[in-house]
Amino acid sequence: MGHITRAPEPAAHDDVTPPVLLDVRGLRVEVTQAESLISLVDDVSFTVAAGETVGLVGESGSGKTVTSLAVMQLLPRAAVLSGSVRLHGQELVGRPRRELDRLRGSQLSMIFQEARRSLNPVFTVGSQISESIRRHKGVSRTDAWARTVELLDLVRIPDAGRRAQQYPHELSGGMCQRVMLAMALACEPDLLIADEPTTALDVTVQREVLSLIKEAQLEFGLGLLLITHDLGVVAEVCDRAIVMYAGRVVESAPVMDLFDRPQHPYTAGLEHSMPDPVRHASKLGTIPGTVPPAPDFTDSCRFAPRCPYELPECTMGPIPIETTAPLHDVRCIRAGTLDLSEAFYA
Amino acid sequence: MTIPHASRPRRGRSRAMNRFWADRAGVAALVLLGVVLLFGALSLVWTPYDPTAQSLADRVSSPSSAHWLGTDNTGRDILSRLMQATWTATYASLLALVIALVGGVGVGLLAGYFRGPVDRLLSQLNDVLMSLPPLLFAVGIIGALGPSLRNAMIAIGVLLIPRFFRLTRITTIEVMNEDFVEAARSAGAGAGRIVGRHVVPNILAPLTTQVSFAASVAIVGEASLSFLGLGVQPPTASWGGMTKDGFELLSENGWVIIPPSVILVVTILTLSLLSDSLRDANGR
Repeated sequence: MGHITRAPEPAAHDDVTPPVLLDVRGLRVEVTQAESLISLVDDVSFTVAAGETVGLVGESGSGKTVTSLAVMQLLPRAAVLSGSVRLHGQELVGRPRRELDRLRGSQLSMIFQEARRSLNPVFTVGSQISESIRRHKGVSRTDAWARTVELLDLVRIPDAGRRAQQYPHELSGGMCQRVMLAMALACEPDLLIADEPTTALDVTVQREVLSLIKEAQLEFGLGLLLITHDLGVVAEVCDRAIVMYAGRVVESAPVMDLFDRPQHPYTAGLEHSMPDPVRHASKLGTIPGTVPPAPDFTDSCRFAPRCPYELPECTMGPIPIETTAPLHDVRCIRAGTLDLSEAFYA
Repeated sequence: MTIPHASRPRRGRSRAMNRFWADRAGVAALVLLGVVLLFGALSLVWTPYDPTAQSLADRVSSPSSAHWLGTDNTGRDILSRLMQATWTATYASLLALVIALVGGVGVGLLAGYFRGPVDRLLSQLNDVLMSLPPLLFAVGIIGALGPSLRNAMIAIGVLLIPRFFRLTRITTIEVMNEDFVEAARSAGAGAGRIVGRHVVPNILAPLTTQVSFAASVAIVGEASLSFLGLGVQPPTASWGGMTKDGFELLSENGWVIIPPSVILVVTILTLSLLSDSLRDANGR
């Protein structure tokens, strides 16, 4: 999946801008540790339109999963959430739990990395899907079961009627991820959050699951927030990508733009650390160092210690995120002045 | 899109069930337990003699054709009394189990689901309960409420709460950390649904093992208290009470103590065997 192949660009932002589905503004998540507040994620803003696929990219510890859980309003009680998360223009932050329970599953859905572990081992997969349908749609047991088999068929599970009666341990990992997808689609949500949906799968199965997700997106017209650290996946399926580093958005741009003209050194580093058979046969770039732990997050540029282009100004004060090109936002004071084509090749 | 032939949710024997049925000792224990239960239940509709009818002419006799298991100190038929006592033991252990389960599992679920201060408070209370000396506590409760089977079983039920609390709490915490609980949340499941649909079914296996074990503890507890005269009150028969009657007659006749002791030992052994093979079948 390393090589970048682009599907034909869907008409996302040239004629009529589709309505904004998810609008996240100034999101900040903090936890208390040793009597001080530590922010895991701050100043995160982005939107997802109906029918659009947005990739959320970053290394481990960059805040991707925290961001997605914040959108779902599923953070642990100990976490303090501020900012705004709007779905269809309605604020989710601070909504009563009951209302959120109703929204989750019916308007917002999520699939996870470890599909098999996301299924209850003591029930058949079919009963778990129809449970979700019955809960949100209030249909009869028989109707829910019929719909379940239909959905399993939709996610191309062969012999869906029989598979529905099997337990998670009887299915393969890819099969379990399809079941999760079927469950997520059961109530025709508007927004699907996929948290590393293919990371735990074989490369051959990855592609199938990805194309299935894309198909489902077309069929249901849903907004897709795809969390991944695989830039190949981003290049293949996303319209736009948001790059996160140490709890902040460092760059956000349409995918073509991001790959052709990265403006943040981190983005460039990520791209160069991906095998590219055309340009560099033997050289793979690496970004020295690791993401700092959350307690060490600073106000200034958090990437500076690992950045080959660091200037004294980088660590002097807060760096705002700025729009440097249409739809292209970067959080770097040297954005636009750097030639990043050879960044991080030691 | 083709809809495959109508299929229904699967209702079958789980793997654990299959494993249990393949275990001869477990099945034998279950059958034996069934026989003991039937033996006791039969006393509700029929006993050879009135279990409380005294007949001083037939005082203290060994087995005979008229009295298969002999008679006791006041000439009561031991077989009839044993049947009644078996029912008493069944009823008593069920009562204690219900108290222990409602208390232990219910509170354990609360603690394991909510964690935080709720968990801390409940765990501390549980630790206090565990630190009480069991027999003294039982005697204390009976002292406060008066000696009766019901009060004895309340005491034993309360004493059994901690083991269920601990087991439920820790297994609940384990399940709550599973991805499928998070997945359920993301699909809009509320607290009740998560506990009922995801937590409880996944903690049932270790609980069944514990129930079978706790039942034997409850039976021994009831027998001990009845032996001391703090449980079942005469003339109602109980295993502990009958053992005591036999104990007092030991110098006169060695037989009377045997039937209640044997059935007590056999039942406890059966329950232990059963909990062993339940544990094996459940894989923990």
